[in-house]
Amino acid sequence: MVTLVTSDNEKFNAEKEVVERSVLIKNMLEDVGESDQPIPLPMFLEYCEHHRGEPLPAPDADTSQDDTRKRTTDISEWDQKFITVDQEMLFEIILAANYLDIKSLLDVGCKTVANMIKGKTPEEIRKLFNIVNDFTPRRRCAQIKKENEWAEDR
Amino acid sequence: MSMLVELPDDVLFNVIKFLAAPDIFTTRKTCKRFQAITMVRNVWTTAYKTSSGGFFPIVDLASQTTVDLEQLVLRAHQMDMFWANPSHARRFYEQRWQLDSETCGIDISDIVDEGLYLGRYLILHHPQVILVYDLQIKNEVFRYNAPVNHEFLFLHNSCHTTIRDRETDYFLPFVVSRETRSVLMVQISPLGTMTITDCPELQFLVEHGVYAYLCMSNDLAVIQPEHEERAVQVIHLPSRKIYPFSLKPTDAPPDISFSSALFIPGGYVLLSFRTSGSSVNHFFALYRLHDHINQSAGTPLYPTHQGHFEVDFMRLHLLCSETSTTGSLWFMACLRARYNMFYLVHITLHGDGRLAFDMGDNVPNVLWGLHLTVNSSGRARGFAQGKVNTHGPWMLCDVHVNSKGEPLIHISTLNILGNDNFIGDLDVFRGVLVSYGRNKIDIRRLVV
Repeated sequence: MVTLVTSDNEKFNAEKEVVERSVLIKNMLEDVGESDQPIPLPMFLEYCEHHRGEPLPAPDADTSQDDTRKRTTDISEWDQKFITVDQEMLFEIILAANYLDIKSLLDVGCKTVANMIKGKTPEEIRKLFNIVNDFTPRRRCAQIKKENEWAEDR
Repeated sequence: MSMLVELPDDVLFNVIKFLAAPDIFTTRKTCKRFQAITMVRNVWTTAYKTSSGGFFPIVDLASQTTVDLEQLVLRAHQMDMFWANPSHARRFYEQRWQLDSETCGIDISDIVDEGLYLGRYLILHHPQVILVYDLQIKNEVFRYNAPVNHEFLFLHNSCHTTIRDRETDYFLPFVVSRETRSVLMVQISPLGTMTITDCPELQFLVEHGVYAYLCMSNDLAVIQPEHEERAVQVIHLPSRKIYPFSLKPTDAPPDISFSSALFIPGGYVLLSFRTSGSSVNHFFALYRLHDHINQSAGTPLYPTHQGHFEVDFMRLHLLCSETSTTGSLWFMACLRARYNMFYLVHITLHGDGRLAFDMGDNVPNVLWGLHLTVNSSGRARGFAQGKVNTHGPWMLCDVHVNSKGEPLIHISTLNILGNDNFIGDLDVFRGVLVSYGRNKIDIRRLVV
């Protein structure tokens, strides 16, 4: 068992096998050894519990295997439910997953964002994510028009 | 402030990784942060590798600019959509052609050839005139007339394939007349302006009075001076640098002569040779062209893949040139002039450097042209023109390769035009169809 402590001092107990899905925590555990020292973390236990027992990606998997894999933005049903949160929480999860180095959770978050972007116009994307259009009008036309002749064609 | 925009670079890359090319371009338009991040080369090398499309030509990623890669990925996506969705394809063929058909009143006849540049400029070659027609403003924008008593001789022969679009400046070498024998080069810029340059360094092409320009793609032309049957060269047109091909596939007899050439997207050219006399052997060699740009002039290019094909045909038309990542398939059709029949041949490129050939049945009723694109699973689709001189209609061709590797063709007639004696050409991707009769030119354009 490992004790995890969040930044607001809440404590959680979890099995080592479960939390090792995070590469960061796995490394931390290796660093502290077998001591009972608590480890800080934000909320992600639920995700790791669910995916308990699934094989962890190999350390360098994302360069070899991942690149040749077909691009897919399918998300499993459970993950889909898990990630159905408001935008703020979604980005928190993404940042946490990135920080904790949990590749599968980071991918679920990024796929969700990608799915939100798909098929939308630039204006719709700006509205959805509250992005400020910081282009000067002239630049926008010159830069983008030619590059997107093909894109418009689909 | 948007939380999305504030994500660290590596997370944004991870998001973009799951986007298809058009969506990447859309995000580029949203703000400066996304503009910057979608211009990072890594985004496009990843997109290239992860794309589900099978339409990638085999390219050496390192030698491509980021803009090249963007175009490749986008094109692949477009082909993907085209193939993935049958109704899309059907709409493409059956309805969209009808939407915007126009006859442009260019009052010249005897057009020798045509080219399309940037999907916008149509370049028409005529014995006395070279002109540029702007498809967007629907008007002629440039015209160059031959001097009195002179006639243009275009350096092209029988290898006209299709009006594949060109993205760089458009080059067209030609000779003013047999008497003067000076080689000139037309260069058309993205603004549609035309400049004519004298090219004394290409004079050798006409020194013996005859020449053959075989085929041209982007900045390159394959040239065979006719007095030297075996001397095939590639000319980099902007720099006029000349590189000889190292001929002769290794197992070929010594007396082969050059027959045909085909540029393949991604920087390859396929050359074919035949043994002279009544022999039936045809030899093929695939050359990589990327390297030569950096090489000094005169360095010979060596074939990367070779093969030979025993079949009794007289003339060879290499017609199609889409490659795939997986099996590297090409289609070509060959014409057996004696019997007026087309045959489809399926060419497979093997990892060990071999080219293998499978021949299908003869293609019924198609005599003039066949424009196919091939997808990664070996299906091909395209247009063909009906018989010359019988007002043949355009036809839709569907080709697939059976389990034995043989290409099979299915043809359906389209209700599209039927000019007198029309010949013309088509760019499937840009949706421009040009056909010309005796005194008028039809331009049809796909409207999205």
